[in-house]
Amino acid sequence: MSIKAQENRRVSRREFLRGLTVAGSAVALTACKPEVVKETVVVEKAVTATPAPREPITIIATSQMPLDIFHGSLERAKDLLPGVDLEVNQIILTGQHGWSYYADVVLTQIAGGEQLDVLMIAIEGMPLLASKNVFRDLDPIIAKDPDASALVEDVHPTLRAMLQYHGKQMELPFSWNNMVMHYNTKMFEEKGIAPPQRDWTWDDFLNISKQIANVKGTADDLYAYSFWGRGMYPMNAWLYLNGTGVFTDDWQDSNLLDPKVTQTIEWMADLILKHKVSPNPVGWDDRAQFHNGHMAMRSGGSWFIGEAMKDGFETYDVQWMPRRSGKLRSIAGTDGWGITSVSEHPDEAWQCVKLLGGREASLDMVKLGGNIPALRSVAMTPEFLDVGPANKSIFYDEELLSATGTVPSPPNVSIVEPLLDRYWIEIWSGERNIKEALRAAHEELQAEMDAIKPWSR
Amino acid sequence: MKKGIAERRSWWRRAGRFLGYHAGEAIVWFFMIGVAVFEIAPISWLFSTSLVEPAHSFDLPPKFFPTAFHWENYLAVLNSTEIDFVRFFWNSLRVAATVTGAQLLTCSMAGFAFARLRFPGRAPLFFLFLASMMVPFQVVMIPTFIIIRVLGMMDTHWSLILPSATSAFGIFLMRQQFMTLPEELMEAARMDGASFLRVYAQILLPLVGPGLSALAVLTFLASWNSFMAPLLFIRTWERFTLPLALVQLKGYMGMGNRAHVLAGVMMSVFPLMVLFLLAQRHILQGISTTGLKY
Amino acid sequence: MVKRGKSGVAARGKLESILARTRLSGFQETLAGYVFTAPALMTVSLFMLLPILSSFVLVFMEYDILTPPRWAGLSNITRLFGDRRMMVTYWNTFRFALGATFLNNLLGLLLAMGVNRAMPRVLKYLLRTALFFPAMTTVSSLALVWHFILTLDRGIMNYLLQQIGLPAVPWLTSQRWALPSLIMFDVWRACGYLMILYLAGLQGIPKILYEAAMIDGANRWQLRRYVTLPQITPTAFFCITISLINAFQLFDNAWVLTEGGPHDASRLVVLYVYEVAFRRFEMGYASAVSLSLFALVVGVTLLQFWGARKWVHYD
Repeated sequence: MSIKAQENRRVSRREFLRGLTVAGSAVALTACKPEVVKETVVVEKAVTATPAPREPITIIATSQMPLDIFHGSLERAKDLLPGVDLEVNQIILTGQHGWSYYADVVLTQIAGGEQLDVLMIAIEGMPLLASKNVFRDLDPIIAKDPDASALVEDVHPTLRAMLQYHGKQMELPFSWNNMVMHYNTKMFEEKGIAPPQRDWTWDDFLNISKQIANVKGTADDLYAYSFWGRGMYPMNAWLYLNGTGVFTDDWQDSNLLDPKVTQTIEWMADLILKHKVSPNPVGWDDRAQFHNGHMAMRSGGSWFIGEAMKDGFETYDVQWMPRRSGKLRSIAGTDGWGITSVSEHPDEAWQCVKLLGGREASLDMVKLGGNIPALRSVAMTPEFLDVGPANKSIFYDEELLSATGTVPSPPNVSIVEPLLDRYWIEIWSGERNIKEALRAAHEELQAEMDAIKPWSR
Repeated sequence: MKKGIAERRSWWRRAGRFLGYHAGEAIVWFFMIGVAVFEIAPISWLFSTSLVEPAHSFDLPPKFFPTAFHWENYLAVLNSTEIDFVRFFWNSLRVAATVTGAQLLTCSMAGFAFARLRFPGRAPLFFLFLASMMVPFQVVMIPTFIIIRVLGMMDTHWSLILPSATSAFGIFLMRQQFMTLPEELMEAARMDGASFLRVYAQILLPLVGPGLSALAVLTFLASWNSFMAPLLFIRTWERFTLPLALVQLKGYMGMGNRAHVLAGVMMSVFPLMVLFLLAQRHILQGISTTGLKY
Repeated sequence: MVKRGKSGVAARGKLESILARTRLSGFQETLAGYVFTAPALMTVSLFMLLPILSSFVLVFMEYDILTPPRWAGLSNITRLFGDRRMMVTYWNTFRFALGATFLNNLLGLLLAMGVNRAMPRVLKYLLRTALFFPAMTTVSSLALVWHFILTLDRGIMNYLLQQIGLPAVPWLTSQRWALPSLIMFDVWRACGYLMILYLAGLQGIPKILYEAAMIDGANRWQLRRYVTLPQITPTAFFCITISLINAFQLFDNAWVLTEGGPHDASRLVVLYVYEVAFRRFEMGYASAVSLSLFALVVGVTLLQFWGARKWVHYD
């Protein structure tokens, strides 16, 4: 779906010409060379003032975010970028299959020769696309543009680093998420449990869970907590809290044989199978159960706030997740705007990137209760801090940001994430011995990581 | 007078048949109602939950009958700023109706040809159509995308209509239907000098009414509910079809309110239900009411 | 079979076949044949055959969508034979196809026969709508509902089972029950669909046949056995063929309900194709797998057509 800044769409001529020339070669489909430029040639134009071209240049921006966030940006585009006809599209994420699916649609569009100038994707999918040369390197563009450095400085280096691939900045960060514990304040009060502290441990967490949970197979069952049980992001959140992770630090090899990984997974599985404070996550609807009082805690990012707002749920607050060992860490993922290598108007695209990723756009997003803004200045505003639970300020914590781990996003994430999911699911049902499952998973995972080593370094 | 043995036995036999008949009837009814309940239960849960206050959507024990009546969930969907319900409804209707009309025409024509006309290459050609049904969409997705682009149909409703203008399923169905009609009908008509077109249109087609109705309903349904194709080919918001727009209710990262989503689903099913009720009358044509049970 | 004035028709038939041998009339029929199939043929060629042909070519290539395809020779094909995961998916698909087709057709036919009886109009409409309703909804909307029904903890099904004292069943989380759950979901959705098709078939049985048989003294069971069942065989053939073809290619239901889990227990072949094509971006190998499936389905369908001669009665 899309909305446009200006009403007149003058793309028909280009499409018509394209149609004519390509119609004849319809049979040679497989040899059809997609219009992907391998090495981007950024023409060094000495641009001081962009003279308004006679025909407005169409820039097409695609993201996964709902379009109402960008209404304001489009208005501003009309005033600030008169020579540009900006169009913003949304590719709808379908539930849990979000980023891989999103990447699929983007790649299909590019393969089909669709015009795509400005693109947003989160870090989970960024290396995948970057490894296929979908993005232009933003460093030279940022270096040339004086406004850009101010914008870039406002973004924490950790967040900036997340959207780099092989050291090159692929996207300008727009928003991000980490994982915190959301808990039902009313329930805690009723049971006389003190709200969790910043440095609470896994033992504290387990004790609280046992005090709260009441599971007998009846309609009034109360679960203490449910983890998603799948996906790079949530699984690694817990692993980081034990100082370990699915991959080695350089994301090149599998780390599944680490005893700390086994320790973590066993502890998580015990929540379901031994202590019975958590349900089996398959088919379990986190959000609904949390909002209607059948579950006391859940972990996730700040987008949960938007969900709570829509469901009219208010009796909750947030706290850092409990850790087991090592220092306090969190996991985070960032999304941002990038320019595609197939774009024919990189300069105009860059202007749009600055607009769509700038302060006003960020404020628009924040007011709708979405992700955490990447811009430090916006994260300090009341527009951000006053929306949601009392403890909202923990979301943007400078000290913690420096210690935040990035969600592992190797370029073959669309292969390894489902791979791991397959094993996790078996473990939660108690169908497979944990050590054995981890060993089998390690073998498969290491094989996949070895397969990409030749070009991923 | 005392009854003879033969008469007494026949009384038993009649009693047995009476019981057997009614027991049989009972079983049949039990079975039908049972299956109907199984089929409808999830839907009635869906309906009841769409009327419930959002916070209670997943309560147990499950409510199969509406207890609360929060019609505002439906209003919220209709008035949602994110969704122009009427427009998407109309889009879906237009596309589905056109596809259905096209398929009724092309499939009955081809079905007639395969059933009743002899021409070289008939069998391989029929099998070719059939074979086209056997390839999964995922594999042909990208070449199809490129073809649509090349034809300049991207982002128009034609990209949804033309690829579905015919279906092997429909051709197969109509072929079977035509094959059940007696050959003599066509022979007689041809003897009287009727052209093939007349035989098809005026004589045979009216006789396969139930088949056409069934095809119409199923085609409309498939088109209305199709999700993958509009997702790939339609980009402009105004041209979206309803199921696609409904996903929008779920919002970014699944933020949509459950009760609202279910209300939206119910609303999108409603016109299908109406269509089905109307089409049923056609399928019903010829039903005997004399009580013959078979 | 009621025979009309035999001699008249036979004589006419003979004349017709004499005429048919003349080039003019034969030519007319051939022309008519092509003209009638032309619209369908054009559509199918453009939107089906062309893409399918290109996937045939892709089998011999390595293609990751963004870079031009490279020649790969037979490597994709040899890979097929060593692919353990693919074998598992085929095994799952077989079991699913047989189970679902059998149940769907059996239920479809029985329901159609039941609903075809004389009963108050309103009840008939209600019953048919109730039975067909699930087929009218989108699969992805239903996923939400069925997840809640089948979830292990606090799911509707298990709740009801526990109320009557039975243990909870790990529908979606165990190797044992994942495929049956899939079959259950498919039957729930599709039997109404097949019911409609069987109904159309039942409606097409000429009343004259029943009347004639009743005159000959047939009772209800004999009516069913000797009139209804033989007459419904063309429809049954169609329904079974279609169900099998669809079952072998099922994607939506499995994707939405279990995504192939747990660990490939309910992974059908097309889900695997999707994974290879859109997770691994190996379009060449994905084409190879789908073409193997295609070959299988073609084989099964050919078998069906061959076997049809034995059990399908056309007039």
